[in-house]
Amino acid sequence: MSGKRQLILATVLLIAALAAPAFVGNYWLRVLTTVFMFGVVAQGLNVIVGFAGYHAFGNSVFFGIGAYATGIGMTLGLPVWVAIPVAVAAAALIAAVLGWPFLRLRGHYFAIATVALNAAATEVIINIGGVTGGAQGLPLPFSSLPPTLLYRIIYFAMLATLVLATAIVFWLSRSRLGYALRALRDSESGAEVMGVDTVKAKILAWTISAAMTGSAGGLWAYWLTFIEVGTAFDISISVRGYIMMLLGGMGTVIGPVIGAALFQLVGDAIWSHFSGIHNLLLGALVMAVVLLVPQGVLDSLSRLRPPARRPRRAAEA
Amino acid sequence: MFAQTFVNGLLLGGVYGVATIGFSMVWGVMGIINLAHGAYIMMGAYFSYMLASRLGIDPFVSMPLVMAALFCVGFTVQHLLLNPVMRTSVLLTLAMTFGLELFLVDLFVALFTSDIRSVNTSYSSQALAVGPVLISYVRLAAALLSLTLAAFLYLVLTRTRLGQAILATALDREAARLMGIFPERIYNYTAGIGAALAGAAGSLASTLFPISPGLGNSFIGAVFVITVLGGIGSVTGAVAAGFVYALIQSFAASYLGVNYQEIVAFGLFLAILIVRPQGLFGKRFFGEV
Amino acid sequence: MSALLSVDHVGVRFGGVQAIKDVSFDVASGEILGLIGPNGAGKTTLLNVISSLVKPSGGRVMFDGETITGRKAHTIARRGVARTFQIVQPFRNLTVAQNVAVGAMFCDAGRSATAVAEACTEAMEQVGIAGKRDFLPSQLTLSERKRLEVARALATRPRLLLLDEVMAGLNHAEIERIIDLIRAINRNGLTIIVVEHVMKAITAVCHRAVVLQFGEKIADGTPDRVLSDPKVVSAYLGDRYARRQVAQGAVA
Repeated sequence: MSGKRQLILATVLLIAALAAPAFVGNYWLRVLTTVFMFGVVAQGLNVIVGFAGYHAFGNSVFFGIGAYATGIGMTLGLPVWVAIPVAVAAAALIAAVLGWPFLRLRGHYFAIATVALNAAATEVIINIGGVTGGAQGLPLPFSSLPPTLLYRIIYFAMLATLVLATAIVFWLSRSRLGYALRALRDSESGAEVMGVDTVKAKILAWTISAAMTGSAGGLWAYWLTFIEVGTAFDISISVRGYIMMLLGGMGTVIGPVIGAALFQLVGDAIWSHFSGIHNLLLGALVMAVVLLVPQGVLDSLSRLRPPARRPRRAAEA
Repeated sequence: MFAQTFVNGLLLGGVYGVATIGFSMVWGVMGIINLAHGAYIMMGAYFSYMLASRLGIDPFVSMPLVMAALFCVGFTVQHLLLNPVMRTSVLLTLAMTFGLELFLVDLFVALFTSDIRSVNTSYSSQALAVGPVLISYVRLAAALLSLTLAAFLYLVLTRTRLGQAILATALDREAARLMGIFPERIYNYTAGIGAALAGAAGSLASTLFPISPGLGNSFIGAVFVITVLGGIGSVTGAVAAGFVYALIQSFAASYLGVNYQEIVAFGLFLAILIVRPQGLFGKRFFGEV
Repeated sequence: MSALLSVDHVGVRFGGVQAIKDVSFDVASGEILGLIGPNGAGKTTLLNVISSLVKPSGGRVMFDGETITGRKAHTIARRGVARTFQIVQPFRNLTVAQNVAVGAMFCDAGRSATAVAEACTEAMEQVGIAGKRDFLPSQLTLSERKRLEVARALATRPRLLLLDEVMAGLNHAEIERIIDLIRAINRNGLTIIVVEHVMKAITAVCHRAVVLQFGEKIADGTPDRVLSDPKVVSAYLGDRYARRQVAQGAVA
C-alpha cells in the first residue's frame, strides 16, 4: 500500500475516531479505548521488531512498568499528568540501561530474554511489597471527575498517544535512524562497516519502543484504578500486540493500528458470543492469520489491486 | 533436611529433563520455539488420566500409547500448520504455536472443565526410606524412566539413519537436501518426536502433580530456562540442566522460601543468557543466527 | 609514497587456533594490493581485523597515521575504510538505491538529503547498476549483487577499499568488467586491497601482492615475482609440483 493511500486511510480513521464519542455508548467507548491502547503497544513492537528486527516478545514488561510507575507516582501524590510522563521516562530509562546487555543477544535469545525479564519484573514487584502493593495489587487514588467525563478524557488521551506513536513511526520510516534500523535488521555487520552505529541505533529503538508501551500502561492504570502484577505484566499483552502488528503488516506505518482494530473488534465480537471458548477461537484466528495472510492485511489488500507496482523512489531520505 | 532437599531436587530433575528435551530439539533442529509444548505436556497428562480412570491402565504402562498419540499430534501440526510458514520468518512460527497453545488449552477446558484431577495408584503414597531420607516410589520411577528415555533418544539421534538425517538437517538444511534428505519430512518426524517426549513428560507428571488444563504453563517457564541452561538442541545438556535447575529450585524453595524459587530461576536464566548464550553445557552447535 | 595503512605484527587466535601469525605489511596511498593465498590462509580474517569486525590478539593496525585497532567497526568505516563481503550481505528488504543510500548516509554525518542522493546515484552509476535502483537485491544476478556490494562501499566515500572475492562465481566477461571497474576506481585515487582467487585478475590489476599461507606472510612483491616464488607455487600446488618446476628451471 502506497504512502499516499496510507495517509488517506489514516486521516479517515482519525476523523472517525475523533467523532466517535459523540455517537457511541459506554460499551463501545471502552472497546475503542482498548483498540487505541493495543494500537500503541503494537506500534511499540513495530519499532523494535518491525524496524530493528529484534523480537521483543516480553515487551509487556514496559507496559507493567508504565502502569506501576504511574500507580506509585499517584499514590505518592503526583497528579496524573505528571505521574504518566514520569512513568514513561522510567520505562524508557530502564530500556536504555538494559539495552546494552540485552541487545547483544541475537534472534531467539533476545526474544526469550525479554520474556524472562518480564517474569523477573513480576517477581520483583511482588517481593518489594510496600509501595507496590505486592501480591495484593495496587489501588490508584480515585478521580473526582464524573465517570462519563473521565472515560472520555481517557479515550482522547489514548487516541492522542496512538497518534503520537504513529507519527513517530512515520518519522522513523523516513529518518536516518529508520534506515539504520532496517539496515541492521537485514545484516548487522553489513550495517556496521557502512558506518552505522548499530549499538546506539538498537538501544534508541528499544527506548522509543519502551516509552510507547509504557505510556499505554500508564494510561491503562489510570483507567482501571486498580492494578495487579498478573494483569499489568501479562505476557499476552505483548503477544496480542505482536499478532496485531503481524496482522496489519510489520514495518509499515499504520499497519499495526489497522491490525489492532481488526483483532480487537473481531476478538470482542467473539468474546461476547462465545465467552466459554474465547481463547479457542482466538487461537484458531491467530493460526488462520499466520497461515493465510503472513505478510499482513495491508499488504494482502494491496495485492488484490492490479499489479501496477509503481517503482519506489528511494534514497531521498 | 539437606539430604531430603537434594533427593527431591534430583528426582524432579529427570522429569524436567524429559519435559525439555523435545522442546530443545525442536528449537535446535528447526528454529521453532514451540509455545504449545506446554499444551502437549498437558495433553499427555490428560491422556494418561483417561487411560487410568476409564480403563485402569497404570500411567507407567500406558506411556508408550500416550507417546504414540502425541507423536501423531506433533507430526500433523508440523505438516499442516508449521511447514507452510517455516521459510518465511521466525516470528510466524512463534505466533502460530502461540495460537495453537491458546486453542489447545481452551479445548481441554471445554472438554474437561478446569477442575483439578489426579491419578491415584496403589503405590502413590509409598516411599522408600534411606536413613532419614524418604524417596517416593513414584518419583523414583519417574526419574529413572526419564533417564532411560533420554538415553534412548540420544541413541536414536546418534545411531540411526533418521537421527543422522535430523542432525544433518539441523546443521544445513540446503546441504541436507542435496544429500537426498527431504527437510520437510525430517521436520515432521522431529516435531513428532518432540511432541512424543512432551507426552511422556505429561504421563510422568500425571503421577506426580494434580492435572488441570493449566498444567503446561507451570512447566513451560522451567522448560525455557533448562533449554538455555543446557544449550539449545542438546539432549544431554537438557538432562544435565534439568537436574541443575531442579536442585536450585528445590534449595531456593526450602532455604529462601517458595516466593524466591521463581526469582532465583529467572535471575539465573538472564545471567546465563547474557554471559553464556550457548548454555552452560552447550557448544554453539545447532544453527542459531 | 606514504603508507595509508600499516598492518603491524598482527596475530589472531580463535580458541586454540592461530588463524593469523605475526603478519606485517604496508599499503601505500594510491596502491592496489592483492592479498592472496590458499583457502583458509586467513585473508578474510585479516580484512575483518582491518575493519574491526575481529579483534586481533596481538599487534595493531594503523590507518592514516593513527592506530585503529580496538575501535568500533562503524567509526573505522566513517574514517574512510570501506569493504565488501565475500558472501554478499545486502539489506534484502531495501531497494538497491536504499542499500547504497545507507552507505552515503552514515559516513558523513553532516550530509544533506540531496548530497546523499547524489553520492548514491554516483556510486550506482560507477558500478553500472543505476538502472536497477528500485529493484530488491533478490531480483539481481550474482554479478549485479557483487557490484551492489561495491557500490555500497563506494557510497561511503572511502579512502581505502577492501574487496573480498568480488569475482568469485562470475564468468569471464563479468570478471573483465570488475577488473575495469577496479582500475577506474583506483584512477580516482582510491587505495584498494583485493582478496582474490582469480590469479589473472591479480596480475591484471594489482601493483603488489602479499601471499598468506596458514596465517603467515610467505611472500610480498610484484604479482609476477610473487607468483613465481617457489614458496608460493608450493603453497598452491604442493611441494612435489614446486620441486619439479624448480628442477625444470621453470622458475628462474
